[in-house]
Amino acid sequence: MVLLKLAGALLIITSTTLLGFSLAYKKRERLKELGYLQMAFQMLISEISYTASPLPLAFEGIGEKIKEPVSQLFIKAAREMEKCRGDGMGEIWKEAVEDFFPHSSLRERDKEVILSVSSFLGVSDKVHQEKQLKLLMHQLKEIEKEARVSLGRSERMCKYLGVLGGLMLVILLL
Amino acid sequence: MSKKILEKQVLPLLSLNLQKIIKKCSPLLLERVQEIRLREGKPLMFSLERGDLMVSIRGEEVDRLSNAYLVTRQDMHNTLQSLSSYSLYAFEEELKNGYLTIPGGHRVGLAGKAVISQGAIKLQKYITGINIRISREVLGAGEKVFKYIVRDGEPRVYSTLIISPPQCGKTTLLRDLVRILSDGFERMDIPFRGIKIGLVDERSEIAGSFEGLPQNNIGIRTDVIDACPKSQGMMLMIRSMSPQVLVTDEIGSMEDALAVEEALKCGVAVIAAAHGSCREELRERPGLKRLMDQRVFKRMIVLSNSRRVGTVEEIWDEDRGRALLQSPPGKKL
Repeated sequence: MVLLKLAGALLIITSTTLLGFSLAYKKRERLKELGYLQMAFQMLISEISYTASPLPLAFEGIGEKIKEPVSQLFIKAAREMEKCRGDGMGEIWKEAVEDFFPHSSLRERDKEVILSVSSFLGVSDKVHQEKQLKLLMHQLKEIEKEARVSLGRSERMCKYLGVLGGLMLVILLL
Repeated sequence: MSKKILEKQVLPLLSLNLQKIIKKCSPLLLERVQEIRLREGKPLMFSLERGDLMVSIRGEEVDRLSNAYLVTRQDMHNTLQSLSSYSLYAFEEELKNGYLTIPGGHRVGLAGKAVISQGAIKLQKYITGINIRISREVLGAGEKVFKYIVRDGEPRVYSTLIISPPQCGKTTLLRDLVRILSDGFERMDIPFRGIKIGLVDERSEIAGSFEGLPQNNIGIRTDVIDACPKSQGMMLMIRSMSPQVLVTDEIGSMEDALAVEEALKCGVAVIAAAHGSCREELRERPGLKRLMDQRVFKRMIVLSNSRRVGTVEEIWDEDRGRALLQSPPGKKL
């Protein structure tokens, strides 16, 4: 009987600990992805202003260079653009973002910023594109900064909460 | 053949709505479409040889404006995005010039609001008019004319000017002449070995280059410089590619005239085209007048629409001052 209780308690503690750690991992991942996104848009800026390569080509190149899962966003969009679907960039980008989101650790708030790209991408001249993309980069940087500040605290908290929460549950159930 | 080209190369670049409508059109109609015209808020129209017509949402030809499909802003926007591969910024130069070339060599004319900077058009925005000209290669269009412009001595080809109003097959003839001269011609009566041709394709209409690669058949001995101003392009060709014939579309300005003269001095024959309906009319343009006064063009070919597109009205021999070929009088417009 005691043995069974012990096993149960152990199980509870391990699972809550894992939960806590995975939450912490997700926060760390989000920070990484925010970094990749900025890298990707930085590449896009230089593709647009120096070589003026069209978006399908630029996206493909970015998709190859950037790490998963952010790369998926660009690869998917590039593929859809080549299909001659007869609709606008807005629809294509939205689809790509929706497709990419379940695989990423980003939050709803980040999604809005990424979606805002569809309102200007490809529809104006180089100077304007560059300006808009720089603004976007700025927004992403701010979000990243915030996320980084809160990460130290919340990461540790998630881990502790996981372990301690498990312990508390065990005590209550005893 | 024209229908297949339209469906494969042009249709995928239109907005989904327009794709659906045009797919419903009768094949017979699509076979004869020369231009697809989109104007925001105005009916979807096709230009044919016999004039233009309006198209309904079911893809039928209609006479009444109220039955026609009106092109929406969304249609214009999506079409423009697709035409530019979703990247207008990559086509600033094209927007400035008012046209772009799509794979297959078709030309898309654009009209919108011009953005002016220092007295010149910087680019266009709010595009409200799109004209897609279906490029048609008519292989063999130049065969009839060909024998009048070649000879035995050097240079092998007479400098020739093709004179024609718009939409009468000027570019088609020019393109096919380039192909024949470049590939050579094997017929018992006029055997002709191909010669090197330098094609200065300022408006990307002759070769229809997409990303520099010619989409039309322009022969095996043809070098193309795409989207380059004529006078600079001609000099560049002479310096670097040693052509025997220089070919260019629509000359007219003084600069063009000087470049043609320069080419002739280098012993290169020039084949060019000019807007106009008869030889005399050209004298009204200073650049062309200069060339005519110097009698640089040994052959002049006048085209018209009188019987069908590309009717040869006259082939003029400048040296002997007489016509080598003339369409029967009375049939002229």
